[in-house]
Amino acid sequence: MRLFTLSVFSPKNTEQASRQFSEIYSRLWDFADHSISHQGFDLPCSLGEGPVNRVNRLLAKLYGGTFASLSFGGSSGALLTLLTAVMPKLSSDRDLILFDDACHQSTIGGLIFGRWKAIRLPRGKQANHQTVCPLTFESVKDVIERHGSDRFAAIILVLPSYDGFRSPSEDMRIYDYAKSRGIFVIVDGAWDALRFRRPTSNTPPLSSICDVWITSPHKRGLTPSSLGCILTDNEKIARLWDEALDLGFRSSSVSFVNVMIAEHRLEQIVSGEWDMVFDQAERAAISISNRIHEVHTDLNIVWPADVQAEMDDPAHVLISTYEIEGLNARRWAAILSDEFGLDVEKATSSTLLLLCGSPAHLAQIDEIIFCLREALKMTLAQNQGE
Amino acid sequence: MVDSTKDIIRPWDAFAAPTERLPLSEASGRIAASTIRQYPPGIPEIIPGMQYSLETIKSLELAHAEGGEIIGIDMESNKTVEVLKTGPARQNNINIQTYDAQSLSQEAATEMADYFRASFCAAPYFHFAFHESDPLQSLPHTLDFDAYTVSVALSDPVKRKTCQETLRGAAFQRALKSAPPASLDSIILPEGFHLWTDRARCRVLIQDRLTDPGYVTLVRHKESQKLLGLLHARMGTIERLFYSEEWSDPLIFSEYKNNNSRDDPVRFFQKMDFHFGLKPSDMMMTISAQVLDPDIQGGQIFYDMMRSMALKIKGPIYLTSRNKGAYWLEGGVD
Repeated sequence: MRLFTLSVFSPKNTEQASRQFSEIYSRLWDFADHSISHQGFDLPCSLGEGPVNRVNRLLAKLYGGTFASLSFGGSSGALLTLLTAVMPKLSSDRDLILFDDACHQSTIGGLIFGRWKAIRLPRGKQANHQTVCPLTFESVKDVIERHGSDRFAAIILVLPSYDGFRSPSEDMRIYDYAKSRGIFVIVDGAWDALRFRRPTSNTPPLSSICDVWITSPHKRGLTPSSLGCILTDNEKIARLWDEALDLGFRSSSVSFVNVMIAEHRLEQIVSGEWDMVFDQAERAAISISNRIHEVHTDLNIVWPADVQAEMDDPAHVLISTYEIEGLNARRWAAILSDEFGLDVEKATSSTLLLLCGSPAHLAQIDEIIFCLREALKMTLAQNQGE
Repeated sequence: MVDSTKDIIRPWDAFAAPTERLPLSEASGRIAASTIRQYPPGIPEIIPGMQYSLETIKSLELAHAEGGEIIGIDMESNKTVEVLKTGPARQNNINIQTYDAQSLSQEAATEMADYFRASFCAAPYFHFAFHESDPLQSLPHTLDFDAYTVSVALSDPVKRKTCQETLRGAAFQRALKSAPPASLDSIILPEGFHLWTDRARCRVLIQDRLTDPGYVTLVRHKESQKLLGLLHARMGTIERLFYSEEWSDPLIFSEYKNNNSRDDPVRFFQKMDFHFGLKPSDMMMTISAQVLDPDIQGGQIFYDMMRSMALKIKGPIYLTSRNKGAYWLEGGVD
């Protein structure tokens, strides 16, 4: 029950709850991590029958790939490992990497410490609220042809964007083209809310969009924090990845409590026990989208067609405030957090992003709509006061 | 096909280069040395190697004014950002091109020779690396040339060596403490003073070397076309290379002595045979690099030069003759 309070929005109790959680967790850690003596538990590598490998197999089954491996530094650590320790050996005769404008900080770290030359691939933006549009095949091809395809070791794409939009047909064209030129495609799928739960019929299989897919199963509670994951069908990449982990990209004494929790949770997800939970979260997102005019008649949901995308992530709700003159969505977000305990995923001057990751949200739709409305009234009142 | 364009970012070069801080409002046109991002989501808007634009600066300032959190700049106090000391990246303003050595024009050969000469006249500031066989072959611009000329004329070899080393040592110390000359052209050394300081002799030597099969990689400033660095690789028999290089007595074979004098060929060939099993008629490649411009010195440029040359080289072709080595020039060049 105490854990449950952390999963719903009520940050005013967070301090007390986190103290209580720390007590529980430290006892669990004392009990488990210090009393493990089973031989298999000493084996963190992805070979053999240790618990890490069992989690890897579960991830491979869940996401539908040949090789899966935990990254112990989250998806950030996975990107860093790939770009500094795997790609240089995989493509030693090529010097350029093309990276998506929407790449995370850790990709930049990988480019720096992997000593790559890099070309940034700019994304188009929607004119009113500046939401980034999906990348197109033509824009990728244009840059690569201009510099010579034999110079490119890899393309790094963020799919979907943080805002949740993507165009699978463009993604597949990019990968087909890259494959024909010997260029590897790495997809940062840290925000892939669809696939980090279960593959669905309306998303293309990983093998049709990339050579390596990275995700953050911990982002929505599939594993404890810091456990990222890579997935690949390429045996050489898998072998180089293992070598890199052995050379120090993974501690030789990983947190076995975390691995135990991940194994337990993933077994439930793979068996379908959580399907209803995911479904509830997505229904919550749809419900909020449908009722957004109850918050304010000039608010709009940003749909895929608005940003030339083919689809969006059903757990994302991107609200455009563009039509409300003088409203700064960042201020709205601050009031939502300070006064109503509702933390949004992201705010810009003209958009607010909600991410429905918790099944509890479905039962709280009325409350969420109320908070959004009242916070907006306060923000607009402040504007008038100024 | 583009070899080096302004949209290629070199994040490591910028990350590891000397930097300075300046106000964000003055950063337009400068190359970033750090990462700047708005949070959330934390996607970098500026990364090392990128050029600050007025648009980016305005966007960061607006985001801050609207309450956005900017990571990488202390927006409340000094509002400064870290940029490369050298301003807009010189590395984006250069062209690197590799040529078949035997096809180089007379003008290019003369330019190369003068460049070689300059590289031996301005150490330690501009010389890419000390010469492999004699670090003191590089003459600093702070040398007391009159005194050195007297030392060259000394008949006693021990006295000559001692005197020259003392003068050069003192010159290096002075050079380390003084500012480099504004231009290499301002360094005037007496003609005939040293193998590589004699302009006319240099030109003859380089012209002769360019008759051998090989490659020349030239680094030029895009706009001015000024030569900034070069790489010369050539093939020849050990005998040919011995008589056309300034191989005195490489340190790898024996202890340093007899500076500036050619080794006895018989002894040299004996040592090559003893150490490497190579005969005077065996093929060998020699490679020489000169990068004088301090703005483009560093591993990345050298890597790019080597890469440019490597991409041009065809082969290797393994001969079936008694030569055991790979004669990589048989494949020809583009």
